Amino acid sequence: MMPSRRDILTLIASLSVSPAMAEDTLALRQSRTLPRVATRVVALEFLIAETLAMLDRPPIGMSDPKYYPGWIGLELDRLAGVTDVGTRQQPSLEAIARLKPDLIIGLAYRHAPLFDVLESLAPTVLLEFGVGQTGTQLDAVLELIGMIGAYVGRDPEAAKIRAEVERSIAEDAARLAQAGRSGRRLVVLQELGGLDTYWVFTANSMSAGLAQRLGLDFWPKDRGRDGVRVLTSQELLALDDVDIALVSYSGPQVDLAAKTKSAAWAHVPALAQGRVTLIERNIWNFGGPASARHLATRLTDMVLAAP
Amino acid sequence: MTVAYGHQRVLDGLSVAISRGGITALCGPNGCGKSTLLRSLAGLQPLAGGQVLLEGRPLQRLTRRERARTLAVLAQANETPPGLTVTELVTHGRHAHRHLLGGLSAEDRRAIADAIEAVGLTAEASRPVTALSGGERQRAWIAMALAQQCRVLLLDEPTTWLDIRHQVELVDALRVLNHTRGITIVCVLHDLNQAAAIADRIMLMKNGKILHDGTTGATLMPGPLRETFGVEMWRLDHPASDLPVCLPSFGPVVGQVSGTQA
Amino acid sequence: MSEIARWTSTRQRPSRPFYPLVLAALVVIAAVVLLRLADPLSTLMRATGAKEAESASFLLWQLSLPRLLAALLAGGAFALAGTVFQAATRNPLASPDLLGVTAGAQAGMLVGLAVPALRPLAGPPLLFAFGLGAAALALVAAGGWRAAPLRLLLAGGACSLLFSSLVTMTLALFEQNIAGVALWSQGALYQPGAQGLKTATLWLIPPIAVLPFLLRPLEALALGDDAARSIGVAVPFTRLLAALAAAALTAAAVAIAGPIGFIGLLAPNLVRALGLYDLKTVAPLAALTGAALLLAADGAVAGTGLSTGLSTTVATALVGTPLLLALVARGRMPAPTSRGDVATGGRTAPFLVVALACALALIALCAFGLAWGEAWLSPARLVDAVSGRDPIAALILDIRAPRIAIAALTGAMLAASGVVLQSVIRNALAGPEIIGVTQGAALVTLTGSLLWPLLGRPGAFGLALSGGLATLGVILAINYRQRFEALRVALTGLALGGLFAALTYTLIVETSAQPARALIWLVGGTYGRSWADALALLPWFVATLPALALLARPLDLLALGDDAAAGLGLPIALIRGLALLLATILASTAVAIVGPIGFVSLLTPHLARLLGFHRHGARLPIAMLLGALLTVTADIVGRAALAPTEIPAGALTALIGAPYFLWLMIRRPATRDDHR
Repeated sequence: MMPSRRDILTLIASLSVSPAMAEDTLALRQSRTLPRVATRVVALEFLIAETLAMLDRPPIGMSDPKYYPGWIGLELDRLAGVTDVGTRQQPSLEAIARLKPDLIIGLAYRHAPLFDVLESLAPTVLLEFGVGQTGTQLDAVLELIGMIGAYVGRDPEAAKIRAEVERSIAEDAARLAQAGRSGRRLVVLQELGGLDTYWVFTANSMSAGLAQRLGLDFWPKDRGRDGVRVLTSQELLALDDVDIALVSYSGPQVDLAAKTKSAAWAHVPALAQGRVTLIERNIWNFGGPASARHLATRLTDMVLAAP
Repeated sequence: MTVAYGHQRVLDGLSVAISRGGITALCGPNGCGKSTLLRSLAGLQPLAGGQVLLEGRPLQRLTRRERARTLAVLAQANETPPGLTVTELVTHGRHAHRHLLGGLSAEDRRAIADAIEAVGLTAEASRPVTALSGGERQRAWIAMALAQQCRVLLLDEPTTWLDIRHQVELVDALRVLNHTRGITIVCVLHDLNQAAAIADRIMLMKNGKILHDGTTGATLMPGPLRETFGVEMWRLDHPASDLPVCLPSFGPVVGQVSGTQA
Repeated sequence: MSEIARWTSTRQRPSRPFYPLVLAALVVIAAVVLLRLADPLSTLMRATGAKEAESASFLLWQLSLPRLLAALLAGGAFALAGTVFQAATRNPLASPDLLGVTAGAQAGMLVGLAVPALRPLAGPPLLFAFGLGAAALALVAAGGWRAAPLRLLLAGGACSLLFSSLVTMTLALFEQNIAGVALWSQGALYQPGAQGLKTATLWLIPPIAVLPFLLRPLEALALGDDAARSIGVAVPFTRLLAALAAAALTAAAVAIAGPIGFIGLLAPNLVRALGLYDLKTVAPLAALTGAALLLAADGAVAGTGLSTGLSTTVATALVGTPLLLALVARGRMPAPTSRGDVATGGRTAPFLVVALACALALIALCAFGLAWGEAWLSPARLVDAVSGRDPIAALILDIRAPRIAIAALTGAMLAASGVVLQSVIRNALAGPEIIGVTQGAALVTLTGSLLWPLLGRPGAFGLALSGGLATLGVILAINYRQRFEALRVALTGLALGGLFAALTYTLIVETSAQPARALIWLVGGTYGRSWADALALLPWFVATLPALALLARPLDLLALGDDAAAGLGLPIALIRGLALLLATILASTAVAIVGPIGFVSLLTPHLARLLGFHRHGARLPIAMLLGALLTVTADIVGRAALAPTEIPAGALTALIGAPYFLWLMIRRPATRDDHR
């Protein structure tokens, strides 16, 4: 039998994680000496900037600030006026250097090849956001609060924020239970701009972690790279007895009817049942604690509003 | 010597001796092996058996550079890189005399100027080879061979692409070189009359074998020619030079195209 | 000319039976159709209840069948477009992707998405306009219809690189918004409903309707323009109509299936390899073969459970490359004359003057690059930076300087590699990125860095070298029997390079959900490189310099032809081997540091020649200086133009270089010599 693509990827994945790197640490690489309390932090990813903003220690520089309002849109007040340091994939090293940061926080999967260069500018931490064999990205995000809190000397506040986020999610779960809607099946799709082409969030995504805590049944059960995989049209047609959150790719001017005009959608049972909800453009699934809290509420409202 | 392409033997047990200081012409129908023989004599063709002796020494034992200083070869179709000037082309002929790095010695320069003058291209020395006429181009290549200061010059159909005037010029140039410098010349020729004009010895080849080998007078006769080419030929004498002239005996028109099958 | 004429001539027509091919194609089509339809059919039969049956019949009629039809139609259309282009240009390598038409159509798709005003034209009309524009540009640059095959290929390659670098750059800059296009750009046969297919199919009707009237005049063209004219063929009109038809076929096929390569090149050549030359036979058979090929490739994608609509191009490359390589190895690919260069130089400026000017320009550019960026570093601040009085300026200098150094080094190395390869393979198209060495080195390096994320620089050099050498080995092994004939080597390399690039892309897409990572890696660049990288590269550069100096004169001799060079006492086999090894080392080590930066090694050798330098002693240093200039420019512009947003230098080398190159080609038409 031909080895399937997934087998091969699993093989690559298993080879690529050396045993020395335990899964419980979220930092793939970090500089030997870090400041005791960092005050000038550069965040190279939305979720890091978002976490810092929640801790009331907004970064002095962040990647793609002009896209942040459109794609995350949370904690905007505290992130107003943060310096643009280029794209998340290729941050401008010069812009970072000129900010004279005392800590740079990035993500391993994007910035690992840049570690040496970043470290030459300031102490650097690269967070590993891959989540092992069982966890979800929600678990990682919750862990990150404490970790980032420690870097900026806000440990008590971090614990408080984590508790607050978990409490908010628990409240949503209670709302669902009260309405007798626990155990409903949930699917979260992200639009990609192509016809009938979607990412479906998988069992290791933040949505899956939220569903678990909200007491909902999450589909699909497989674990994709970065918490997503491409959804096939056949799978789309089979979406029966599920609540579907369709995360939009365009602005608010395009409504659900326009999104589901294709011939295939006409045959999706969930759409006929009125159980497909368009959620405004966002990437909360790749965001931080505020995103998690917000997404939980939106998903709960959606399930409650569904027939 | 024996030469084979794959299983097909092109030259089979051939033995030839080229006389020093002479001009030898190789003639024969298409595919008879004359070009292969020439390439074998030049050491460009791997032999399946036998050997080539150059001035008594086996060709394989000579280093490439030694060989190139003794023997020059000019292929039928030469690639002329665009922009290459006559002088640059001729300078390439000094490759076997020079060190791998470093400039030209006084001797190199003398040999180059000498070679260009010998073929009468001094006025064109700095022009690109591609800008020359066909005859001049061919002479430029011969100048490159001369710059090798070789004692043996092998040419494969040097006149094929030239018009009559350039053909005559080239034939004259080769004869002058042979006379004044004593260079041994072997050339493959299609035109029997040219062969008669230039060579003092002619080899008639067919199917990888030499059928006739001798002076022009002895080989350019109706009998050997019929045997070689399968065509009836007239043998005339040139009214001015008394050299042999060969003429195919075209038959009368009989209303249909005859096959040219030998 | 004679070779090509023999190859397309209608007079030489061995009446080989074509039934085996038809039968094989039909069997493949039938088998794939049955396999693909078995599942939806059985679902439909087992369906109980009206609702289930309706859903199952939708699956069959609206999803499964349209996808099969799309594969058949697009495959056939690509193959027909290739056939027509090849006949009209009398060039067996002319195909929509090599002429830049496919890349042009892809750019049209992107423009349709990005420019709201053009929305109504999005789809086939815009794809057609852009595809035709690309073909016209390539033809004009090549010097018209009668351009030598290599010249046309080169112009088409430049166009293709130009348009695909435009696409790449847009994708890299707007990463969030265009994930869908990134998926589509790999060829998506997924057909949601039959409606889109119907619209695109309508666009196929006019060019196919024109074909019957085109084939006979096109066949006459095979005899040569003069002969065609003398028997009453309207030559320019025929060619214009052929170009329109082929561009329309390509546009419709791209609209249906995305920019899938190979088929337009492969299908007609496969048919001809069977000894069929009559255009009226070749065209339908090529269409059938193309349809079967794409269907089989798509079936393989669906069958192995690879991502939907993502990897058809990869599968096509996987299916097509071995076939193409088998043809090349068996010597069945037609080999038209490989003579002809891009152009010959006009007046020759003195070498020293040009070299000095280039070197001064490079120094000035580097100095400017140190000063220009997000923040302007005045000379005074630069002095402060070096003396340590201005730590921020020192940090910025430490970012800019190694990048510039690496850009200059890799530019020079890639240029040298291009010159050596072009000379030794005697092929104007033989840059390392064209013959696949770059892509091979990149693929192996990437695989290694995925397996061992903390791979050090020595490891990267080792992997890149082994990848480059292995690619070279395969090319040489395949072409050994054909004595490394130039066009065959180019074709082998094109096939391998396409395959490796597709595999690299897949590897990245499959290991990450972020298309920007893939794109940035695929085009290469100097971003984030440090002094450590520069110092790691330097020994390779320094070590290869004496070898280049030693090889300059033997390469000059090699240009005279094998026999002439051997006659002059050159050990040609040894020189060839050494030169190939050297070129591979130069390209692979550069790739290990900056990734597969394209165009430099293809372009600069020709630029040096266009400036009038043909001797390697002069051409090598000039090309290396020009390569350094081009890459340093790309580095500086990429870093500073949109700061703090970074444009990958690899996309800019083509974007800056290709227009200049095409302009030079237009300005310096081929000499009569080139047409031989």
